[in-house]
Amino acid sequence: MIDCSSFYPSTSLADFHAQGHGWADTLVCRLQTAPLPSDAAGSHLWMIIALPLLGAFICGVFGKTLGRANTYLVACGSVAGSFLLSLIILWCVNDYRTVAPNTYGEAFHYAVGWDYGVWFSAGNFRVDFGLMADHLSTSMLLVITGIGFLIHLYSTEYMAHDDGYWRFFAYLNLFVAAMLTLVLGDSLVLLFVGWEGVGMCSYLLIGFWYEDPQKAFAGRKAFITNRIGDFGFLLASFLTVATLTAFIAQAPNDNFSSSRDAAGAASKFKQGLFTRGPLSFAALESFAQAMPSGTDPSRVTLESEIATGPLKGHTYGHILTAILLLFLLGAAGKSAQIPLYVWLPDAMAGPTPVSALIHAATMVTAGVYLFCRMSYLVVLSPFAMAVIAVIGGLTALFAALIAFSQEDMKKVLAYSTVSQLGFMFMAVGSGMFWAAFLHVVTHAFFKACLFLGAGSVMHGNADEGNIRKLGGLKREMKFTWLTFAIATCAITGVVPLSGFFSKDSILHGLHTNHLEQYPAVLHFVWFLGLATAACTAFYMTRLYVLAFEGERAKDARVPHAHESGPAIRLVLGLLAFGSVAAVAWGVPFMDHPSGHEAGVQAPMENYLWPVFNTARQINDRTAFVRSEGEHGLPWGAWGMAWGIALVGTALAFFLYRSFFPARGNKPVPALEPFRKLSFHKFYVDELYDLILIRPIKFISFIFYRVIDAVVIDTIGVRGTAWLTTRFGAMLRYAQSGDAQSYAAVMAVALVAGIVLALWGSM
Amino acid sequence: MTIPEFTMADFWPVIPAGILTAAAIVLMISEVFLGAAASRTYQSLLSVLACVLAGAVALMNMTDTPRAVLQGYAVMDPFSSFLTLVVCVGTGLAALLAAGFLQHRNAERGEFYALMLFAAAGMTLLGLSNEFITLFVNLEVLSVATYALTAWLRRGSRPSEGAFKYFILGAFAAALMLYGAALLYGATGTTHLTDMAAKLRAALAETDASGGHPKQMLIYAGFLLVGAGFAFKVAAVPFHMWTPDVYEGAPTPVTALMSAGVKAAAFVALVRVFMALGPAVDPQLPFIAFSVLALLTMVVGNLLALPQRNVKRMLAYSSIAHAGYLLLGVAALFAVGKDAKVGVLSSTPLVGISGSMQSDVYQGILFYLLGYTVTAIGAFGTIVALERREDETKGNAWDLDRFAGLGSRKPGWALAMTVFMLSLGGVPPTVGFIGKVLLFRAAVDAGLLGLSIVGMLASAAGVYYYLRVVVYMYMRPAPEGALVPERRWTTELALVATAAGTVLFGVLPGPITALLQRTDMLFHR
Amino acid sequence: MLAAALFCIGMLGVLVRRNALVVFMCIELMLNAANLTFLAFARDRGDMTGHISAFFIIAVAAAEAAVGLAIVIAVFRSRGTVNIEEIQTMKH
Repeated sequence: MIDCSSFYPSTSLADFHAQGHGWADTLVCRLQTAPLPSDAAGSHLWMIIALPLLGAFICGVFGKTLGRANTYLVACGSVAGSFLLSLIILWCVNDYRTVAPNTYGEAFHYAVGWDYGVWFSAGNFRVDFGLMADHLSTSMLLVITGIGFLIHLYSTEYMAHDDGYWRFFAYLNLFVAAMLTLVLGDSLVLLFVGWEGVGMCSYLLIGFWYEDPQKAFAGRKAFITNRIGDFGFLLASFLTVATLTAFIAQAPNDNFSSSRDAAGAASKFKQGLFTRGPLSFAALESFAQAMPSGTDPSRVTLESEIATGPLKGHTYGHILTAILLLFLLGAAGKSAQIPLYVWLPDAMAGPTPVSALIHAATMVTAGVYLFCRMSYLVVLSPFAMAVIAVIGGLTALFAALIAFSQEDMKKVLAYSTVSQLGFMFMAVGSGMFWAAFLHVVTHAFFKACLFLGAGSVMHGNADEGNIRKLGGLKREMKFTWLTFAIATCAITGVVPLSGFFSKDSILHGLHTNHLEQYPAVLHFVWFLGLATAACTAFYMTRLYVLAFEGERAKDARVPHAHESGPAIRLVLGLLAFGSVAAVAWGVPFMDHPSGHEAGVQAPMENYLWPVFNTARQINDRTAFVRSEGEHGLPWGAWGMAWGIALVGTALAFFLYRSFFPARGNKPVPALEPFRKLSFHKFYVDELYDLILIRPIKFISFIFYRVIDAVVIDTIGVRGTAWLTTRFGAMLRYAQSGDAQSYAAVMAVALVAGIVLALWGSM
Repeated sequence: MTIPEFTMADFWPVIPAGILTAAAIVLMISEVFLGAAASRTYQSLLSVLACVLAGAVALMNMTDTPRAVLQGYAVMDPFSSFLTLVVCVGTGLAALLAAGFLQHRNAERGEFYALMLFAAAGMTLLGLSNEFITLFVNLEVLSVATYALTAWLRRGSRPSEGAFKYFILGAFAAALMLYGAALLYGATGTTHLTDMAAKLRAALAETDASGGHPKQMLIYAGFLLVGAGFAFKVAAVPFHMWTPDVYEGAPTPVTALMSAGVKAAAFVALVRVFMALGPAVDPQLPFIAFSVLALLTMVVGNLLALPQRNVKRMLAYSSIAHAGYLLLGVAALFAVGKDAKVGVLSSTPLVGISGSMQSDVYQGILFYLLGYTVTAIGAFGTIVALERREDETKGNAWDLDRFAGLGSRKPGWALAMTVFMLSLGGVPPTVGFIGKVLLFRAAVDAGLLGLSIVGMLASAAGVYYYLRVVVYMYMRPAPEGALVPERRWTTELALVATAAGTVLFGVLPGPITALLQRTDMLFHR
Repeated sequence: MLAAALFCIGMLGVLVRRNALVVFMCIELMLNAANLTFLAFARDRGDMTGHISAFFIIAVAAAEAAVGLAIVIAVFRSRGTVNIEEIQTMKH
């Protein structure tokens, strides 16, 4: 390990070399030293958001007159600019000396931030417009702008024949700006602004090709589920304000005794609430730090009852659980978890680059980001953690099972996204925030690659997305095939690729972590996770085999597919490379920084250490989550995970490549000997069909048709819409148009009021 | 009999109303000298100018010390000054809209603007009235002016029908309120709100020989009658039924003025009356009454708007729904009052946080009023821009189909309408979002958790019908042979101003909230 | 008491009468009932406020009557009837 403490700016380069450091050391230290002072970096964070916003404005207003090439340039250029700025921010936050100011307590290291002043306020409620980038936000920034740029680039070719290109790029840029606001905002309010903004852009982009009436309903579904989620989010925020207000009125200085100067910390926190309002993440972090568990007469604890305000009489622990569950509702809406996942598969009606960017890589991970951002609150409520984990586990398995029976390439990928998001929620629920986030990053690469690959396939096959009508693309679209195969391996969990490590770190965490109060939960979720891993391997292999292997289907729309152009291939190549290279984040080889824990950790865990440090400290205190793992490399778990993935892959390969009935009885050359050997081939075929494919399909059918279509779609979404509309229509007839009946209603209401008032006062 | 002495300090609050009235008189007189074919665009601009001047004076008044003026018949506080500001903004914008609207119909006359300004003067005075008869007279000034404005267009049956319903029901409600005021006067012997509050308590405590409370019936009946009169003006369910018909029948600029100015003035007067009298009568009664009204108004308003295809009517129901959210704020005021017994508002302030919850609610209400005014006028302004005289009699002038394909035909108008719809739905980054956050947050803090949940769900349902307009504009092809009305610079100026305001106050609400926060005593009693 | 009775009669009239003009008259009745109440209480208490109020109310009622009658005439012109049941084209 190089000691960079003597590196520039404290010493000159010559002195540094005189200390025996070589040029390699200089380079390493240069990269660990911020190129900008903290203030300068922080106060220019707004530019990251402003660039794509400006791009959206230019594309939207002048796009038609500028022409195609210029619009492409503006749209891609603005995102690329943001990407470069994000890289600089990454460089800055890698330096320990980079600090973000914190009004509520000690400054944050490894972060930059800036408070641009009061945004709005009313009485004792105040919200500042502040941006902050720490390691978590910075990684999101890079994912959003990096993958966002690639997808913009891809779209220039994909949308080459569409006349609404300027509108499309304006929306896309607007989306990027909103998503950047979501991750850069340092308060729940600003996060919510981004949250709504991405929802709105997603809504606009789903309905981009509005000729199809079917898409109107898809949009509506996305709309209703997201509104339910938003409702949870807002209510949770309001409860948070009330809780913090009550806490500050009630808590004695002892609550802040974890810091050296308890009274000073307490007054600083109060001062911070006064000057910056209760909804910024820094306030929540200080609050979480000051909130111990158990009973302690000298402090306010999770068990204490709230003494003032509207929540009077409930304990802090219960309110926190309620807040987190409401946030879970919000996150479930955005990140497509049970029961609000239904909109995501329908959202595939939009253009494919949109599915890749919004519905796979970025927007849908907002829920995971939210919980990672508030990790310190999550660890305070074991019940909420258990619920999050179970919801994630159930969603993961459920969506994977549904993916079995889907025939549309994008639908399979959509359910797969839901399922992978379930994995991330499982990780959050088990307290493995870094693993959840690692999966966000790796998933962004391989899922974007898969979606864009699917888009390339559709592009080359006259918009045919049905996997039964494809096949044999391996020979006709070599490059797409190669990248799709790599990404499939990544999501399946083939060993050296990124998906294996991210998924396995989640499963490993589920295996070793235990919620103290709900010991069986994570174990149960672990089984769900293992089953999902097998299912993932199965349906992804099925997708891959049907689309790329074998012979070209007879009822294909065009006799020969054509490979896509250079822009699409370049993007696919880069993303496939990313799916492999992201592995560097996941292989555990680094020492724990503080040294008091044995074993090794993945670079991502190390990198996110400052972000989740508070959560870890809190958990050390409360011991809600207990970790009992072996400290070496988890070879056993790895072996099992790989074995499971292998079984799933092999099974799908075997079933669909060799004995797939829809391809007729055409033998596949590679298996000729085997076919000759099995005399009763036909029975085997039917047997497989009977004992494997049928039941699987049946289960999948049940889930898809009965639960998804009937319960959630019809009763949940359509039912709500139907009921409210019907109710409204019924009430409408009271509006007779007759002035006298209006007056009569008024009179009756008045008399009723008087009677009630007098009766009440008797 | 002594003639009371007034100083300049007494007149500051009525100066805006004076400016508006003076401009109205100038407009009426100037009309005499004009021929039928003369250009009358100046009239609209003169009205706007008057509103700007009056608004500027109101802005100055905001920073003045709150006090009772004109021998206690009126009060000057930031609450009423801000209302004056809102009214001036609303009237100015509505006057701009009216120019194009009336020119298109050959109905532009100075009296129209004069009536608008008289109504505005009534609204501003209503906000500062602190005595029942003053209040009633001002209420009637604004009502009579709006009755006449509603009936302005003589072509077709809708305007006169709307005006008739508005008039009959409005006068009915005014009579109810007046009778209520008479009963309260009977119980206390005064019509001044400040005195009345003190005397009400004494009157209620009086007992007769049999131990009953002789004046209780009188006071409760009077109280509720007054409440019913206000509930009519703010269009609270079940006193809302006139709203859609009148809004539909009235000329659209007048509808804009009604939905924004009239409602804002009525709300301010309502808050003033009930904050003065409510706690004196019974802290529970107004809380329960307003909670019930808020609940009904939010739910019914949104439900009724859902099936509407007529956009103008949909906006009318939406204005009912928004009155519901505001009533939630009013209910929160009394919830705070109720909690006062257990010490939230007691002398121990919340640690480290200055101000009280009540002022949060006031600020929330005022901000919401401003936001709603700007947004609603913009939304009605888009209708003004779109509607054509020929369609009015057919009754489909405001159908959703009129908006189909607007995104490609008139991208500017469509964008503006999108902004208004998002703001009405409470989606960031618009002023509607900030307003809802402030209002609902204050309500939750005051303990109205259940009601706030209903409100948020109702507003979630509301976004559905707002977004439907957006969907029609961007995602439906324009009907064959659809004509786009000609552009008029006054209308477009109003649209630009409202759209810019909606976004600007949404992104940077700071100056407004700072203005509202500057005074410790927002509300003078 | 008389005023209350008058008020109730006016209110009932508004609710049940079919002729717009009569409805209009009933509203005036309600206003005058309020007037009477003011006067009665003022006399009872020997207080001037009520008397003055009555004057204001009379003035306002006159203005209202002017506009109201104009509106009724406009209605009659546009549809040839003042029957309140026929004035309901806008509904739902």
